[in-house]
Amino acid sequence: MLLLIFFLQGCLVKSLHPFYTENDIIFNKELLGKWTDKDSATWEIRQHMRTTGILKPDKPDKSYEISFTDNKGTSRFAAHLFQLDDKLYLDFLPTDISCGNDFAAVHVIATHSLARVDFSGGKIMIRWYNEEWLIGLFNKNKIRIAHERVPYDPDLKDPESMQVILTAQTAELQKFIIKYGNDPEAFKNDKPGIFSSDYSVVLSRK
Amino acid sequence: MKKEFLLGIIKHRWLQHLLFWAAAWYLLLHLFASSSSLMPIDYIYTSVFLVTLVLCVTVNLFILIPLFLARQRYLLYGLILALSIAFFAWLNMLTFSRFIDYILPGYYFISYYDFGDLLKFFVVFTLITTLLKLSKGWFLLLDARNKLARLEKEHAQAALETLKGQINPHFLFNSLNTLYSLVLKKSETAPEMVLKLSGFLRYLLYETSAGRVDLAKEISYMKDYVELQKLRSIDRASISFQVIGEPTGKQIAPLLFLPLVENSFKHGIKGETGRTFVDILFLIGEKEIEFTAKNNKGTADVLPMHDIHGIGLKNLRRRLEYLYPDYTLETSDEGNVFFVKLIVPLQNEVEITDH
Repeated sequence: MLLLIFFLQGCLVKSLHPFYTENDIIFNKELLGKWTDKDSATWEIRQHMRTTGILKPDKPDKSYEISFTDNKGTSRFAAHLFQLDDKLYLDFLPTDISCGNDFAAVHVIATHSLARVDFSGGKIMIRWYNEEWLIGLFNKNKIRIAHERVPYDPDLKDPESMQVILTAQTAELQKFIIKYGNDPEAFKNDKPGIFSSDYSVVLSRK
Repeated sequence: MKKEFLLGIIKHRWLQHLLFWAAAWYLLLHLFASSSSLMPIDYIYTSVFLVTLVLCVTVNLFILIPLFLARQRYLLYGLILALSIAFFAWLNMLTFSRFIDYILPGYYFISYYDFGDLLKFFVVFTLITTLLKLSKGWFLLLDARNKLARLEKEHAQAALETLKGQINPHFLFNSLNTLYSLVLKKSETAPEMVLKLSGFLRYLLYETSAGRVDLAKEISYMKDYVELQKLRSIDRASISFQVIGEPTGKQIAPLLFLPLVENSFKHGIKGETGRTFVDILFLIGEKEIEFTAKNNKGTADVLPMHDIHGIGLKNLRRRLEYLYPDYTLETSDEGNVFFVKLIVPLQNEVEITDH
């Protein structure tokens, strides 16, 4: 699990603030169920149940719980499907980031990641926000959005190996996605990553 | 030095604007920094952001203020200014959401502030620049007032010099004539007259150039003047010179009373009616001095009254208005008697030192 988190940190665009607001959230039952990708990893997507009180029954809300299982283990995420303009996006936030014990866990901050979602022919295509493209723009000073650069490894201070954490507020993030979401590079990445072939994944019903 | 430096900046309009916008650019650059360290993209963003802000402020300073605020059309000014601010804030938003992609293709900018936040920026900048403009106007007004005060002072000084110029030749000529006749008669009063004349002329030449002189000295020389006139006057003339109160330690502007005293002798003694008289009285209080002069008028007063009604009085009034705005100068002309009263405030030496 720790390896997976480390690996995820190294390849997705991370944001301190969510990419959605309550007003943008939509709920699509099509997402619910068990899915598999071409690497045979399992994606189990359930509707999130909100706790309302000790003696009261939990209530379903408009978000999802995703359990991702591959041969390295299982990780869990809170996911929100939301729409900006006419496009659908998923905001991922890891919910299970325990790292052995509580002392280590309190040092870990969960960050949001963003992916474009398309439904087609009973399948779901998820394309993550292209971190490589974004870092390239930051390095070339072509983009202005509130962010911080932090090293992947505290011992390595090489600017090229820094990861970017977006610190912009949700409104600013959304303006950026709306304006530049159609950029052909924004949600495209051919670099091999966690999903073996590229940063996009096609889910089929299991 | 400091004032001259400030005036120098105020006079160079473009220098002020450049300084102001350079400071604004620097402040906004740090406010807009998108990460903990300044990036070149922040410089570009701040510069583009400033364009609409400069336009808004320029329209206000060079069009709206002269057209409406300076003409006291406050309501219209407020209304048009509000519309102008809203327009430029909207233009700023549009610049970063649309135009920037055409101006700087390949760069990724958004309008980072919503309309409400942009309005705050524009209102603050407009307010600051308007206040600066008004304070600049106030500073220039202050300078103009100082110049006016300086001119008034110079004018008063010129009036004093004119007065002295009017007195000297006339008085000197008459005194020398009198002296000539006394010397011819081998009169014993001739040396005394020479001494008094000499003292009076010294006073006129060297001691009346100061802004204020000792009241005691001024009165003493008025007395000398009267004594000189007595020597010239006919025997039957009744001349009185009286001082009530303590003049020591008090200050007054020089030669305020001389035109009035001289006038009394000119019209009183020269009139040569049956009873000729000149009564001069100085009434000295703690805070003010009251001078009165009373004299008979000549037969049908054939002599012109130009000094008291003409240039002499005009000069005196001008000096009084500048030196003692609260002065009182009254004249009355009843029957055969001419009367003049002048009241001016006094300053003691301590007050002068304090100033």
